[in-house]
Order: sequence, then structure tokens, then C-alpha cells
Amino acid sequence: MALATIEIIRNGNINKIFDDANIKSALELAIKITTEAKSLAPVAEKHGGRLRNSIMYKTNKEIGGFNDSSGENSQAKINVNPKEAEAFVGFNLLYGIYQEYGTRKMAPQPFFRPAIAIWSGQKAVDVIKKIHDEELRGKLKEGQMRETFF
Amino acid sequence: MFGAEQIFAILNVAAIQAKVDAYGSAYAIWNDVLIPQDFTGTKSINFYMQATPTETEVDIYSYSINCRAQTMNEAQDIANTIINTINRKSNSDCFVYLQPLMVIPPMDDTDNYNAALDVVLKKRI
Repeated sequence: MALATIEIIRNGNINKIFDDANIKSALELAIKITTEAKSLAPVAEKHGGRLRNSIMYKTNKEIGGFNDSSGENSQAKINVNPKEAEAFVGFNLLYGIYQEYGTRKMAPQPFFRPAIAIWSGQKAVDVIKKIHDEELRGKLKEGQMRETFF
Repeated sequence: MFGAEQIFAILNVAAIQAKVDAYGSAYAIWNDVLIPQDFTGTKSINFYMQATPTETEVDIYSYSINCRAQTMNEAQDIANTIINTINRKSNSDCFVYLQPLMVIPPMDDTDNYNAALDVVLKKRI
């Protein structure tokens, strides 16, 4: 007669592992949107590039994209203070909004909303992918404490 | 094309026509990024496609509607009428939902207030 085995698995640092996956995926999504917006941003042939250089991302630990392209440099960064697992993408330039939406006399050249539209829906996919990556690395299994009876 | 006919059809109704100025024998509602130069009125609507993220079972088109007027309240009134008329309502072959955005102030003396709306149109393939 075979003995039954009961295994109780207690989760050790599993919350931290999921939080890490969430933070990484938020950052990854922010970088993707920043890159897409920069590729779509209109750049004037002469003295252009300030708008493209102003597009940036910011998390509570990382910041990037600002003044990393050719052309005129932007003067101001976005003024936000993200919490953990939050990521902001934006630009701090007065005329950017008129490029995005146009004016009565000037046609719009949307660069920001299309970038978001293109990458929308990726967030959940990224989180799942990151969790899967953690599983492959064995972190999730390491985070579990096992007790076997019988 | 790309859902523009559907958006024009659902915008070009009496409730919304009443909020914009006349343009010739029609109303100031255009599927264009620019307002015609010969338009002398102030209250108008122009819409244009931003992106076309696709899914497998339905076509999804992302549009922007610009509700322009001389004052902020007039622009918001046009946007509000559009939301009340078409938001989250099924049409013959499509479904539309809207996200109101902030009112953009005029860039200069020749510009006017713009109450922008983001539109997502879902259409059966």
C-alpha cells in the first residue's frame, strides 16, 4: 500500500518577485513608448529636433530619453515624481501639444498618442513575460518554502 | 476608408449639426486634419485617424476629433454633445467609445479653443 504524500508550499518572497516583474515591465513599456514617440515626432530640417529630444520616460529609479537624439537640445525635463512601479512618458515643451493636436491653421502631426496606441495592451503581456522569465531563472521556485509530510 | 465614413455618419446628425456653424449647404464637420481656408465660422469639428492597432476578430481604428470654437465653453459644449450622442452606442456595423481630453487653448490670435476627443472605433471584419 502506497503512502500518501502531502506537500505544503509556503510562499517566501513571492510578492517581491511579482513586484520586481511589475516594475521591470512598467519600465520596459515606458521605453517602448518613448522610442516609438521619438520615431514619429516631427523634426524640422533646420534647427529641428527639440521636440524629439524632449520626449522622455521617468520611473522612481530610472530616467531616460532626454536629449539623447541629434538636433537641438530641449531645456526642461518632465516634472513628475513617480511612485514605485509607476512609469511616466512625456515631454515638457509648450508647442508639443500643438504638434500633436494641430491648430486652426496648422495640421496636426500626432506622434505621442499613436505611440501609446501601438503599444497599448502590451502591459499585461509584459508582466506575464517577466513572471515567466523569473520562473525560468528559478527565482519563483527559490522563493517557495516546501514542507513535506509522510 | 478605415472607418472614416462611419464616424462621419454618426457625427453628421441633427444634435451635433446644431452645435456647429454652417459651411456652404452643409455643416462644419470634416474628415480632415485642417479646416478649409474658406471657412469663416468659428464652431467646427474635424477628425482624423491617429493609428490602427489591429486585433484578430475586429478592426480597431483610433481617431481624434477636434471640437473648435472661439471660447472654451463653446468648445466643451460641442464635445459634450458628441459624447452624449455617440459614446458607447452601437451603430449598424461598428461600436464607438470616446475619451474626452483637456481643452487646448489657442496658440495665437488666429487659433481657437480645441476640445479634443480620442475616439476608438471597433468594426466587424
